[in-house]
Amino acid sequence: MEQERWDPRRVEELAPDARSWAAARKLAARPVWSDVGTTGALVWGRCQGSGATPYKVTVDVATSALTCTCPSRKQPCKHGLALALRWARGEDGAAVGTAAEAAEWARQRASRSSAEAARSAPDPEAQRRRLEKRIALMDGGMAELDRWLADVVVDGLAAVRSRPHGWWDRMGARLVDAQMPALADRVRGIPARIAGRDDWADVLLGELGRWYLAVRAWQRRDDLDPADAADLRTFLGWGRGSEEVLAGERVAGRWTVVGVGTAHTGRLVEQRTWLHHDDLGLVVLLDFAAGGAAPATPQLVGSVLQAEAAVYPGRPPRRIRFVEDPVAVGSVGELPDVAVGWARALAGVAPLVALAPWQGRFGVAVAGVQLVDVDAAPVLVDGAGEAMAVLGVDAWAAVAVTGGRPVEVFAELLDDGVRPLTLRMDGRLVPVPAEEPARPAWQDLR
Amino acid sequence: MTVEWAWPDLVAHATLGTARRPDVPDRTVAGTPLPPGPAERRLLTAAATLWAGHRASRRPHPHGGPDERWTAPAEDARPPAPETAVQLLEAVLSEVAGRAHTQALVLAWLRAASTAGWRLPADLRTAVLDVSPTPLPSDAVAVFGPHGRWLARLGRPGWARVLLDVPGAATLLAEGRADAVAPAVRRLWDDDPATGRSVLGQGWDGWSAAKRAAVCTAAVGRVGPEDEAWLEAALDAERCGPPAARCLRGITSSGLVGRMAARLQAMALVTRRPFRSPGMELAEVRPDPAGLRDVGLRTESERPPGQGLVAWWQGMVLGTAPRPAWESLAGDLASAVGLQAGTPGVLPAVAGAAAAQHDQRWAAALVLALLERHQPEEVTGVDRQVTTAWTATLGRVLAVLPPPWPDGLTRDVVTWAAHHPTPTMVLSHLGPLLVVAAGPAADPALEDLSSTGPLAEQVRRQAHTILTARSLHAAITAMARDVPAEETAP
Repeated sequence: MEQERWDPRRVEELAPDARSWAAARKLAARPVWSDVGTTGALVWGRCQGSGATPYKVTVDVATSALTCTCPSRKQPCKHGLALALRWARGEDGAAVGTAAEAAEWARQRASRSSAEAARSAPDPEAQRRRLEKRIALMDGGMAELDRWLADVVVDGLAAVRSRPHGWWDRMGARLVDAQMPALADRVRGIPARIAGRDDWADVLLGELGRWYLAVRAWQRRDDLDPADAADLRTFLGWGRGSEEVLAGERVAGRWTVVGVGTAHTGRLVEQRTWLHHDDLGLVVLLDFAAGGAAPATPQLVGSVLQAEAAVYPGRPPRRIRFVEDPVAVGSVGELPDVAVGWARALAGVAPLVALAPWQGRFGVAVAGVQLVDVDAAPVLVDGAGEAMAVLGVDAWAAVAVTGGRPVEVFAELLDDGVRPLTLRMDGRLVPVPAEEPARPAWQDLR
Repeated sequence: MTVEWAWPDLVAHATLGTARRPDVPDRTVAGTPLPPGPAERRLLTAAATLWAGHRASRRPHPHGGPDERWTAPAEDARPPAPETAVQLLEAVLSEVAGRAHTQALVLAWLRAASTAGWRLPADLRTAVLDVSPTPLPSDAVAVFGPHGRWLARLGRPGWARVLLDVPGAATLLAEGRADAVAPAVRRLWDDDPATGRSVLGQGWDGWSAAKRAAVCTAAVGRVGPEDEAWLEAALDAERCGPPAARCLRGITSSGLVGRMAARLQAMALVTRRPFRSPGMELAEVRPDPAGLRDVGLRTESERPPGQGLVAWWQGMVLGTAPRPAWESLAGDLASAVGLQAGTPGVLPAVAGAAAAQHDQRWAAALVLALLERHQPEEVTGVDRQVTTAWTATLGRVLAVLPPPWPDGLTRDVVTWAAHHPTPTMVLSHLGPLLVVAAGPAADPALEDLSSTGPLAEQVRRQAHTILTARSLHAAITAMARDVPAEETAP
């Protein structure tokens, strides 16, 4: 089927950044292309790069999917963009059949789609039985956690502090058996989290209090506000299927990308994209990758996306997932809801924090803060001389970008400090360089 | 028993445990009544309540205001590096051309950008500082500007040494510890040796033996005739003898080199017979005390282990005597190299002398002899240590030759490396030189490189990496010229 040619601007919107787009434009005009062809829905070609073997590039114009055999970390890469641009300009060569690799790629995609569609409809009775079994398991796990917490407090924190990791792991394993994996991770992460800290007892007691709150809330789950129940479910590690989310609340409109953060938990890479919506305020889009794979190409900070999104139940900041691929419709150079100084910024977010004990991160935008003390314990200090500890960033790279000037920052508010994600500099939104190497998992449990 | 609790009270009780401290109060500090029941459950309820309240009422902590040192100087007015040039730098930093070539390519980029009068992008400063040599050559520093210098002074310990300037180096040399002075010596003797000698003259007598030795070691390859006096004195100083001798070995006009030339004349006997090439015999001479002093030793037992005294001493003499001494011995340079190549064990030693003395004529003649004498069919089975030493010597001599190398030499080096019994090791050693110094003939030679055997695929990948690095290097060299006009507009 012949596809309508794209406008070159649509190709530009697919570019991960301006440099990739500029490189793609140059590449499209260079005599490095061979075996270029199209069937209408598929465009393919070979691009001679710096290596001996040309890269195989394929564009599925029906789904805007671009693939290439080059090793670029940026996706889509300049080769894919350049081929798409050539096609948009009508420079796709003579189509004689489908190149073998392009055909294979298209076959695999089609196979995946049909496999997904062919999944059998769920059996309601079986679902009910599974749900009852799960709740029974969780009830049992919560009762055991309740007794365990009481024992810990009777013995005293000083006594459990010296327990070996295996002692915590055993409780974690029982919570895994009770199908509460997120809570299990928190329990297993405690020894690393309190190690070497002067305030270990405060941290440990706070965490025990939070778990106890979870126990009590679970026991009263039928009385909870649905948003609180949803947050509690997430806190315990009871995930939601995409069908369930897509069948729920949906919101369309424009979403401004205000920050992107990544956390490495050992097994998983979690990418959090913070977006601002006029009605929902700040929301979070989560992407995960496992087994050494990279998460989805991050959205450009400052870009404005048009899309419909499904909204997960819960307290703000709500989690969303896009129903369709978002389309970039513009960009901004400002952060939303910026407060001057920490006192105002924290006061602004306090009502959300008070209402959402199961949420771990809140977005906060603050102006007039300066990154200092990078050689010791980095902080962002405001004009009133009040500061918040900075976590999870390459502080030297960040101070190199800010030049020590007071700036506007969008950050994640965590239990132990803030994790800056975006700076506003000279009217532009700039990502804050992330800490390298990846932070250990326990730090992200805060 | 208290009626209301604050968080510290709660932590104190919890730390000891309710088995020891069962006196749990009735209400939290916020006035919330705690439910009746066992002490541990009331404590956990209080902890949950206080934790939630504490979290929702967080406040920033007082800091006292930022220290002045965290405020950078104003950004300089020079234009930022153009987009095309930044892309090249990002490609290099991403190690697309292999980690082994990153530093050389970054250095080439910094030199080109400094010459073009560009400013380094702020977000790349730390990555560049992390991979730059210590210290950075002075012709590559300007691109950092005052903002980069501010960052380097504040930042990670190595950064300040990367951008160390002459006054800073003078202070560091005068006051620094033994393990910190090497960058200072390199900066001073590269850019302002007179200042270096002045600081050295004032401080030498008061420095520790370790610091003096560190200074001598860092000065190897950087000293000139003006340094001969202090280096001669250092030959007798504790722990300084060997590095001072290595320094003097590179100064062709030095008395030490002259003395070694005289020893060569006494040691080498050239034999000329009709219809045959001249030959050379080396007398079995042992070093006298003056000879030992000229290599920085006091006794024979201080020499490196694993070699007989006579052979070691011959190597010392051959590795120091300058080209004129050989020309005098053999008649001309070609005959001298013929003698050197024709006498077993001599070639690597004299190649070391040519490299240390930066003698381009001698190096050019010796490179061909080194390639010919170490042919693949002859070195099969030779142990790795010998091959490594030979390749390292070849690399040092090649480094003396001005780039780009002639096409013939370039092809010879690539072919020699590809057909060597250990081609991956050889390419690893010579790769950086092939990137920055080999002539244009290297590209087709590397592309057509044919290697067989179990390492063929690895060799092909190495050649590909070198080719990538060469293409980046070429692009960097030409980037100031090739940047489109609209990208250089301020």
